[in-house]
Amino acid sequence: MAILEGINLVEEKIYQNKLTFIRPKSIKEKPMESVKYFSFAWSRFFAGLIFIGFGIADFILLGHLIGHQNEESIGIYVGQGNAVFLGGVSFFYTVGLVPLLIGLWLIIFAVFSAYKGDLSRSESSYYFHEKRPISPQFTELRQSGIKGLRYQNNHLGPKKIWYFLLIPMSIRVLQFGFPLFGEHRAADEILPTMMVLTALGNFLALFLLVFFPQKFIEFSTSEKIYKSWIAPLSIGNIFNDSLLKTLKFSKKNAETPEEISSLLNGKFSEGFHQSLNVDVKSQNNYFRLILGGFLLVISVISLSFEILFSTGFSLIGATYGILLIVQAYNNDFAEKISIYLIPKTKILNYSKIFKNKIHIEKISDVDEVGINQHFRKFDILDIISTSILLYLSAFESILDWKYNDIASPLIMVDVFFTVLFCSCLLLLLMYYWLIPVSTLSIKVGDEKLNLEIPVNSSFKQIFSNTVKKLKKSTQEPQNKKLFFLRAGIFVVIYVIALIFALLI
Amino acid sequence: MRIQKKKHIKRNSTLITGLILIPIILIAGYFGLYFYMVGELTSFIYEAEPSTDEFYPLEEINETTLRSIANEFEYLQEEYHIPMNLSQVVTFNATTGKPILYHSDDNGALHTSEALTATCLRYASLPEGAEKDDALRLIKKMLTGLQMLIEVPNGGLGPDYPGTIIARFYASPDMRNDGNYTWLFDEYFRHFNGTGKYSQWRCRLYTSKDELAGYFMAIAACLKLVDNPYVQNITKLIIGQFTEGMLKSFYQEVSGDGKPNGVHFQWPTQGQWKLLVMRMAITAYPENDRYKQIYNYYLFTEKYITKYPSIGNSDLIDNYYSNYFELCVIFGLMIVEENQEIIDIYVNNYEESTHPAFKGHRNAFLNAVYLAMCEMRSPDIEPSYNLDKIAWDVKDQLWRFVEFDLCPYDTTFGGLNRTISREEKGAEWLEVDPNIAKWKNFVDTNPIGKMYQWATYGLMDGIFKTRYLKPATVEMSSPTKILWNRNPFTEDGVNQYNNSQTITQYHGASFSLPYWILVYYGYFGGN
Repeated sequence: MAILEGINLVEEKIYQNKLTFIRPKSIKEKPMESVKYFSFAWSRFFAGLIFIGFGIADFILLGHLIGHQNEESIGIYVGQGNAVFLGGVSFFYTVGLVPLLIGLWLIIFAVFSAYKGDLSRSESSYYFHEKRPISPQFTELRQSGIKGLRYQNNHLGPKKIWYFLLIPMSIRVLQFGFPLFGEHRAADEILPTMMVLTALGNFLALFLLVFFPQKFIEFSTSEKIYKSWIAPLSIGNIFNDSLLKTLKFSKKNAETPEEISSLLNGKFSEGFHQSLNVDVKSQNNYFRLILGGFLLVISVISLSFEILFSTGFSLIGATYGILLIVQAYNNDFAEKISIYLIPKTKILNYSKIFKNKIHIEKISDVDEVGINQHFRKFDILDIISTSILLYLSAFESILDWKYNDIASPLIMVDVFFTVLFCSCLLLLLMYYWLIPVSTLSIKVGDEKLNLEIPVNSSFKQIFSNTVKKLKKSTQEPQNKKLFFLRAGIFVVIYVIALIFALLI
Repeated sequence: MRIQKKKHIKRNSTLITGLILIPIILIAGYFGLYFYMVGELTSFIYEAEPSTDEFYPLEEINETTLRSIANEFEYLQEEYHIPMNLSQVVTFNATTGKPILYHSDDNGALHTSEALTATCLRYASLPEGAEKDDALRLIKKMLTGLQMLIEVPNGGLGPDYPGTIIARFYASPDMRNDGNYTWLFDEYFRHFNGTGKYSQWRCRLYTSKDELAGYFMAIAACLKLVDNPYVQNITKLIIGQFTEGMLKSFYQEVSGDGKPNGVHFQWPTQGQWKLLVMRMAITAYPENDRYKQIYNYYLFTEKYITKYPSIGNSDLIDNYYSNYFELCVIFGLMIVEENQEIIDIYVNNYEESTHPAFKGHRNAFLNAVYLAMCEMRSPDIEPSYNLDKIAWDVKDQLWRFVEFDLCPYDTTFGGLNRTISREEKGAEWLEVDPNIAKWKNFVDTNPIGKMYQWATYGLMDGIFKTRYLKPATVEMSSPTKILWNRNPFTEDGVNQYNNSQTITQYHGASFSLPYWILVYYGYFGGN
C-alpha cells in the first residue's frame, strides 16, 4: 500500500538527478513541507585542517631532506634526524606526508561536496534538490512508489577504512616517537614532540571522522534505491525534526504506545505480530563494547611492554577494537526504541535514539513484525580482521606454550596470560560470530528484513541465553547452516594455526 | 543523489570493486615485472656451482703454512694496524719500510671487529701458553677500541650510561695535532665531540648497520670465546649499555645531534639483529628475567623462529656488502645461542632461505660461517650441502694468500704490483650474464621498460653492472680491508699499483676471519 493513500497519480515525467539549479517549471504541485539546509561536511573539513596543520608543521620543523646530509639531494637537513635507513628521508615523509595528503583530500572533498539542499514534500511526491556548485541535481520520488525510507547518522559503511588507514600508522609513529624524549645528546625535543602530536592529531581527526559522519538518507522503491549522504549545518535536533516532519515520520505515535522494558519478555517476544505499538525503554548491550575494549587493552599492553601478543596482532587488534567500540556506541545502546506498525496502512515506523545517534526506518507493505534471533552480518573487514586475530593469537599461544622456558618465572607468567587471553578472545569471538542476536524481523511479502536491535543483557542473562540460543541456532534450518559454516571456519583457522605451530 | 537499480546492485558492486582493484593490479603488475627482472638477473647466482677442478688440490694445501700465515697476520695486526686500538690501513715508506700514514676510516668499528673476532677464535682454539697470551693481549687492545666507541659518545661505560650511540671512530684531544687524526677534528656532519668527561674527545658518528653488525659480532665473540675476567667484565658492560640503549630507543640508532640517523632494527630489518642483542644480554646478565622474556617474545611471539636468521636476496647484485654484514650478525647470534633445539632451527632456516643464494660465491667468509653453523647443529641432522667441498672451497681461497704471497696483504701484491685479471685466467672467466644485456636493452628502449629507469639507474644503480658468471678468486681482487664484502661477480681483476714511493698495507682479516672460523670449528687441525 502506498504511503500516501487515495490520490490519483497523474502520469508525468519523473526527474532523476536532473542537472539544474532551478526547480523545473513543469512541477506544478506546491510543497506542503520542506526542509532547507546547507550541507557541509564540517567533520571532514576540520579533520582535514588537523591533518594539514600537522602535515605542514612536520614539513617545516622536520625538514624534507631526501638523501645524506652532505649530499643533500632534495632539501636540507634541519637537525631532526633521518628515517627508514641511513641517509634516507626526513621524518616528515614517514610522519607528516600521509596526513598532509589525506588532509588535502578531505578539504577538497568538503569544499566541493558542499551544497544547498532542499528536501520538500508535496501531495504526491518528494523532491530532493541538491544545488551543488558543479553539478546541481534535482530528483523526484513518487510517494506511492516508496517502499522504504531510512535515515540514520550512525552508519559508517565504507568509512571503516579510516580506522585501518590511520590507527596502525599512528601507533607506529607513537612507538618510534615516544622513546626519543630525553635523548641525552638532543638539543631539543622537536622531533619526538611532533611525532607524538601528529599521531595524537591523527586520532583526533579519526574521532571527528567516525563519531560525526554525515547523515545517511535512503529511499527505496520496488526497482531502485536512492541514497545520499548529507551534512546539514544545524544545532541540536532542529534539522532532524524538520526532516522527519517533511518525511511524515513522527517520533510520537498517534496512539499511545505501550512502554516496555524489554523486547524479549512477554507477548511481544513471541512470534510475529500484525500490529505493534511499543516504546522500549533504554536498552544497553555491552558485549561489543567489552570485546572491543578487551582487544584494545591487550593490544596496548602488548605494544607497550613487548609481552603477550605480537606487533602484527596488536596493530590489528587495536584497530579492530576501536572500530568495535565505535560500532557499539552507534548500534548497541538505545535511550528509546519505538516500533509502530499500523495494521490499516501496513506501515512500520521504527526509531532508535541514543544521545546524538538516530536511526529511523519507515517501511511499507509490512505484513508482520516480530523479534527473532539472527546472526550478525559482517563485512569483509570484519572477516579479515577476525580471521587474522584468531590465527595469530592461536599460533602465538601454541608456539609460546611449546617452547615454554619453565626456568624463567616472567616467561611463565607471559605464557600463562597469553594462553588465557587467547582463550578469552576465542570465546568472545565465538559468541560474537556464532550466537545470534535479537533482530527486528520484518516480513514484507516474501522478503524478510532483519534489523539488529540492542537488548539489555546482564552477565547471567548472557550465559543462560547463550545456551538457549546455541541450542536454538543449531535446530532452526535458517540458522543451522550458517552456524556450522562459521563454526567450521573457526575450527579450520585453529587447526591450521596448530599445524603450523607444531611444525616449527 | 545516488540512484541504483536494485537489479544492478551486485553488478555495480563488482564494477566498483574492479575499479578499485585495477590500480592495485596495475601497481602489483608494475612491481611484479620489476621483481621478475631482478629475479632473472640473480638467477645465475643460484645456479653457480664452483668446480673443484679449479681448486688447488687438497694435498697441496699445507695446514702448517696456513697456520704460519695466520700467526703472521696476527703479529702484523698488533705491530702495525692498531696504533690507537682501532684497526687501520697503514701506508709505509717504500724505501725505509716505516709507517708514514694511518688511514682515516669510516668503518673503524667494523674492521676492528673483524680482526677482534678472528683473534677471539684464535684464542679459543689455542691451548694455554705464550700464543694464547699473545692473543689475549691483542684482544684486550682491540676490545679497548670497541669500548671507547661506545664510551666516548655516551660519556661512560655500562648500563647506567646511555647506549644509543656507537661510534665509527674516535680520537683523544692529544691527537688533534697528529696528522693521522686531524681529519676527525675537521667540521663534518659525522664528527662530534664526546659526552661528559669525553667532551673534548672527537668521535665519528652517523653510524651505519655494517658498523653495528661487526661490533655486535665481535662483542659476541668476546663474550663466548674469551674466558678472561677483564674481557668478560668489559664485554658485559658494553652489552648492558647497548641493550638498555636499544630497548629505550625502540632500537633506533642515534647520531651526534641526538636524533635517529635512520638505522634501526624494527621491521623490515631482519629479526636476527634484535635476537642477537637480547641473546647477548641473556648471557651477560643471566639473572635478568626481563631479557629472557623479551628474547622469548621475539623468538616465539613475533615468530622470528619461523624464518630467521636469513638474508634477503635483494642485495645479491647491488649493495653486496649488506650480505656480508648481515652474516656478521648471524654468526654472532650463532656463537651466543646455547639452546641446541633453537640452534638447529636457526641453521635450518638459514640453510633453506639463504645459503642456496650464497653457495656459488666462493666467498670464504660466507662459506666459513655456514660450515661453522653446520658444526654447531645436532650431529644427527644431515646438511643439505657437501661440507667437504665447501671446506675445500674456503681452504682453496685461503691457500691463494700463500700461492700469491699475499702476507702482508698490501699493494705490492706479492711482488706483482697488480692483481690477476680475468683475461689472464681464460676466456670462460670473461663470460657475462646474458640477462644483463637483455634487460638493459628492455629498460633503455622499450616504452614499458623506460618506466623502470628511476629504479635501475637510481635506486639500484648497480643492477646493470657487468657481472661475470664465474666468481673472482683472491688473486683477482685488490687488497682491501675486507675482501668478503665485495661482489665476486663484478671483479674484473684489472688492478695495478705503483709502489715505488709508498706501499699500503691492509689488515689480514680477509684471511684470519675465515681461517680461524675453520680452525675453531674443527675444519682444520689444531683445535
